[in-house]
Amino acid sequence: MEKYFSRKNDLFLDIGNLHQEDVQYGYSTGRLAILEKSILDKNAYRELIIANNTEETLRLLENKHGFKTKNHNTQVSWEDILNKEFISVHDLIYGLAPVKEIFDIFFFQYSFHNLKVRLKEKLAGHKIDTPLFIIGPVLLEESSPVLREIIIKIEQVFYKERRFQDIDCILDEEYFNFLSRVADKYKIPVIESLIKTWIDLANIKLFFRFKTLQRDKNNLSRFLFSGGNFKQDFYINTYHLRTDVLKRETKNIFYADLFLTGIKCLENETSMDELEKSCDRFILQRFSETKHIVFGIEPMIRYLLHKENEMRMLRMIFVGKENSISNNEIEEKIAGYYV
Amino acid sequence: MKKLVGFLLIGMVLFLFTVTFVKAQETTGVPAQTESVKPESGGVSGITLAVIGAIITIVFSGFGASKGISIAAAPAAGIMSENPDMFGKLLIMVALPGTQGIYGFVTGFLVFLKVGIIGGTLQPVSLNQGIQILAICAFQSFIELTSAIYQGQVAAYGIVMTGKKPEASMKGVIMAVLVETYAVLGLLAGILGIWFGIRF
Amino acid sequence: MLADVSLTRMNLMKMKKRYAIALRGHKLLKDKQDELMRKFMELLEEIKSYRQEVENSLEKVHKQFFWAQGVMSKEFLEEAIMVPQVSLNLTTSQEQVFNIQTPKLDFHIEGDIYSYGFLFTSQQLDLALDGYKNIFPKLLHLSEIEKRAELLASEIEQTRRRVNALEYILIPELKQTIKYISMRLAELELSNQIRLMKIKDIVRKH
Repeated sequence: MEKYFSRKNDLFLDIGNLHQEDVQYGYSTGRLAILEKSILDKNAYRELIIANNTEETLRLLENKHGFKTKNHNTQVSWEDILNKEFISVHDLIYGLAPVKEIFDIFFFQYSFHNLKVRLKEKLAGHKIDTPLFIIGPVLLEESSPVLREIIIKIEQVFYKERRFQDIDCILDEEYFNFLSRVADKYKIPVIESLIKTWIDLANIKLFFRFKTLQRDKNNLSRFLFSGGNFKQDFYINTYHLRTDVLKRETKNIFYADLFLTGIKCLENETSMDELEKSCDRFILQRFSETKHIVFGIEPMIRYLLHKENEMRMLRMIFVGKENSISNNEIEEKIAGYYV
Repeated sequence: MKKLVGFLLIGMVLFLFTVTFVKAQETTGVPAQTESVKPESGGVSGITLAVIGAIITIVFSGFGASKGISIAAAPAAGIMSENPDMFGKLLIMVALPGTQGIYGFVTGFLVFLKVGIIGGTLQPVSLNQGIQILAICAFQSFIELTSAIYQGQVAAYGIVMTGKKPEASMKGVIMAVLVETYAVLGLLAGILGIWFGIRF
Repeated sequence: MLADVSLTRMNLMKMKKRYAIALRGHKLLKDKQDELMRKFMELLEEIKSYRQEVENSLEKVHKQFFWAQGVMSKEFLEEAIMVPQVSLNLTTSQEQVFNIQTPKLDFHIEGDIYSYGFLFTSQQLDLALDGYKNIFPKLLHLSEIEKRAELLASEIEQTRRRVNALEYILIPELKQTIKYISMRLAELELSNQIRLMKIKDIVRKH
């Protein structure tokens, strides 16, 4: 809603507050309104969890939720099912999107995974059997001078210390640069704020992870991402603070809840699981506030994010089932992901 | 596209002002026998203005209606591609913005009837009356145009709501009909003004 | 043994000496067996509790890793641990316990186990890897003491076989031989005496 208020609103020039580019999303909104209903809810997950074994869970998925679990009458592994489902979501989104390039921002992570694997194999000097993604925009250094520069930079850094982590470090930073480049090109406020939020959440997670790993400040500054709403200095300056001081310092900031969750995890010395869940939930919640928007990119983003979340939850259920972890424990583990 | 519509509307208003200005000059210039100005006497005649008014109403209302339908049809098409059974429920909401086009056409037709272009003899329309007709037509067309687009939006919201909850389709229709009220009032004002308000 | 023994007094003496040695050896071996057994039981007790502990923590770590698998997709997980930067230096030596050569493992882990990017990985993976890192020394120690127990068991087996051989074969046989020789000797003496008496009688008659 805010985006309509923030825009220039001229009665004659802008009849009906509608922008041509937003009207293009009408069709996708209608279609996703139906598809959104098939996203699994809390009860569906519970049903899947209390199923006796993996086979029964698969059968439930096929019969009740319309997942394709068979290929020519032979059962496929759950990983393939989830992959296939996500690829179909990818195809749907790219099919519906009026401007396809905008949605690259959701799939760059897969391209960067492939790029990382390729680079690591090249620099390690031998083939390492690692699965690749078949989705995501294609990144080829032959066609992109930006990418070529990045790879040259990576090779320079790598040959200095032969540390493979540097590859990840540089590419993660460049990942956000790629996203920001798309956002700058199209100047859609939602996308811009989404990317900023992503960067902030990544930094917050990193902040607390490094606290549990007890790394020093210099190490943190090497990994922090720039371009978020909060400057890197904020994290570096508050890094050494004790938990109670940190709690007081971060009481009034935008991400106070997340910081509070993280501090609680630190104090109880539990895993940062809760924080990671809260971060995922944070974005989903922000997008569930956009339910009333019909003409815009938000319904598509919302659908995509929910679908990603669904994949993650299903994966956790299957992992739990396969390793015969008790139902209660699985339920407890995925409880934080409901929105 | 919207810019074009905006400029046209602004242009229309400016045109009205100039016409009034010309009229005022004429009345001050030649005080006698201005009431029965004949078309051959040069300048803008009443009947021309009336025809311009009628065409403006038909064109803009038609434009607004089609725009409104196209806005509402997009999500409806999306829903129907997943669930074709919804057609019956969605059709009425898609069709609602279309009524504005009919209203505009009715007014335009009435103008033609009134000045005698259709059926009967040409009426002696004075410049003053021409301006009155043009003004009524312009403002009604403005109402139809904007209300059709707004109604298209409301219908689109209703359509998406129906997609999520099929049982709520009537609520969506009612909301869209609320916008329709003002289009009907515009039509009513137009009919009253042209048919009963202007006498030759 | 009975067959090829010559019935001499010297042999008897020899047998008696062997018998005494066998008895003493048996007692010593028995003591050794008992001691070994006691040690073995102690070690077994230790292994049992240690194994329980290691298995429990291994299960916990495995579970952590499963959840890491759940949170991150397989592709991202495998990419993260694609090129490990940790190296393990393991040196083996031998240690004498109860004149048994038992292996001894010395090792140290070098490098950063978190050698991956932090953006697409979950903290669950950190925890899992940390858990594996902590459990690795324990696993090595477990294998060390289990090997020791195995060697001890085979030593006990051997000792017991010796004890049994002494107890059920050598000692009874020696006993029997001694009895046989002494009986035969007594018999010989008796017949000798009778012969002498007979000769005396004959001599007196003449």
